[in-house]
Amino acid sequence: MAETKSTRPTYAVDAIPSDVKSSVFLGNPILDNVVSSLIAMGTELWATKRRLKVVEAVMAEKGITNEMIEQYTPTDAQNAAWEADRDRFIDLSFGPLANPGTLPVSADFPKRSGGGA
Amino acid sequence: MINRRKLFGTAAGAASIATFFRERASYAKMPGDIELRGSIGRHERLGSLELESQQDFTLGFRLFHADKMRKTSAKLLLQALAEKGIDPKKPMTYPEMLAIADANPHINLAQKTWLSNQQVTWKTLQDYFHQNGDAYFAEMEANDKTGPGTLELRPDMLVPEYTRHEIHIQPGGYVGDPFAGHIYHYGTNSFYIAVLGHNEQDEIHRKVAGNMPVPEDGKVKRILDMGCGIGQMSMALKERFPEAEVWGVDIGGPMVRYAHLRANDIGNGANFRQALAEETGFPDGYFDIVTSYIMHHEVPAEKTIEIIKEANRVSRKGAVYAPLDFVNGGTSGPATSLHSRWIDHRWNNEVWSLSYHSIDFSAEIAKRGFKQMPAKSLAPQFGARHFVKA
Repeated sequence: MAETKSTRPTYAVDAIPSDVKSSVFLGNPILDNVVSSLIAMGTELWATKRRLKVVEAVMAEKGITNEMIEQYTPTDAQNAAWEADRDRFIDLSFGPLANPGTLPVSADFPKRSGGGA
Repeated sequence: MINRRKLFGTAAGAASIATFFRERASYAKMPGDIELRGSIGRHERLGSLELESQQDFTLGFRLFHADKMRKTSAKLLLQALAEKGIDPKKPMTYPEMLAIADANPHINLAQKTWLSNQQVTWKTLQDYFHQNGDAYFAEMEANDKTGPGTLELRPDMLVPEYTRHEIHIQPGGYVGDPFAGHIYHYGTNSFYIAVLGHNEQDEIHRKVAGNMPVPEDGKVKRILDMGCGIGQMSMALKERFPEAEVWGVDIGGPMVRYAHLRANDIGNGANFRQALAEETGFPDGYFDIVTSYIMHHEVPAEKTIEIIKEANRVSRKGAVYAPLDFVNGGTSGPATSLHSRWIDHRWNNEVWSLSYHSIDFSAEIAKRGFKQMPAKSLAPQFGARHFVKA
């Protein structure tokens, strides 16, 4: 929680906190956390998209139109760099979904060869 | 952010926006005024594009939720009732309803997403105001002692435990965060849009105040708004009755402080006092109209009784008492309405709402020296409560 460290009068007193953060609606607290994270990510993503709209609008006022942006053709070098960045983004964001994850927390180390004295 | 196209999408709307801008232009700049991104009418834009966009998302999600997820959830609850051969109109108790609703993951997902969205709404606002705390403190400090209205803060007063809960899961509630008023104001704008319509220009409060009944003799010299929060109703009443002495009282120091700041900003002469609704400190028979705006469901039923007695004490003979709050009554009901009420109570932290529903509010008023008059509800979902002091 954000707190202001201030010596100024706040006219605030201690509140009794809600226990909503301890709630489990989906049978597994991890699922609840994932949903909360998803909403937060949606908030951040929309804030970014909306800012982009403002940037485009300001640029249009300065003579760089949306059509110019739409019609822009990247160079081969740009294409290659952007595709690599796209793949990195997808791998980072969605790679975990492809993780089979078969080992329980208590699993023994697999037998190693070598490394002896 | 306010959607001007939605709000002012008609010819009448165009006239309205012109009025708002004229109105705004006539406001004197208040001391220390922070308007980082300007105002639309009386709506001061949030201080950063990022925060405004985050709030835009949570508003959009709230609308989506009301239109899709809540409807699906209600449908699934009805299905679950049908599978068990239960008449959906049959009154149930909370445990009976919860035993059915809790078993459905889609219903739970709907509640979870709504709450997560609510948490993001508050957190983004709270973080912003604290990150920029010095400027917002300075703005309040520059206005605490200026007018046109007055502000009475009582930093040493005892703030009872029942008022200290984080209502609507707002961090710090109404009493525990120095920017509680700021946070509440911008957060509740999206509540309103999803339920009753736009309120960035206090449209809802102004409409309700416009329909406020007056005493039979027509004399309105003094008005009291109990549990005034950020003073939207108090200000709307001052606009309707500009010659009247209007007071808003609330236990939340940061709430009345923000109310006064905002009244200064729009040149409204309503007065604000940090006080409990059951102990307002005004003389006997002082007011011609006593009202409150959705306060009673936020206090325990026994406090509601004390507040009714206080309203009676400070009202003159023939005064109007018109407390605005939801239609209430009953500890059982159809499963769908009980479910919404339960989630709101338990997880949106409407701590006292079940207590509010445990009594017949109108009947309790009528028992305590007020005569009920025939009336229509002043806003959707509100009970029709127009009383006159006998």
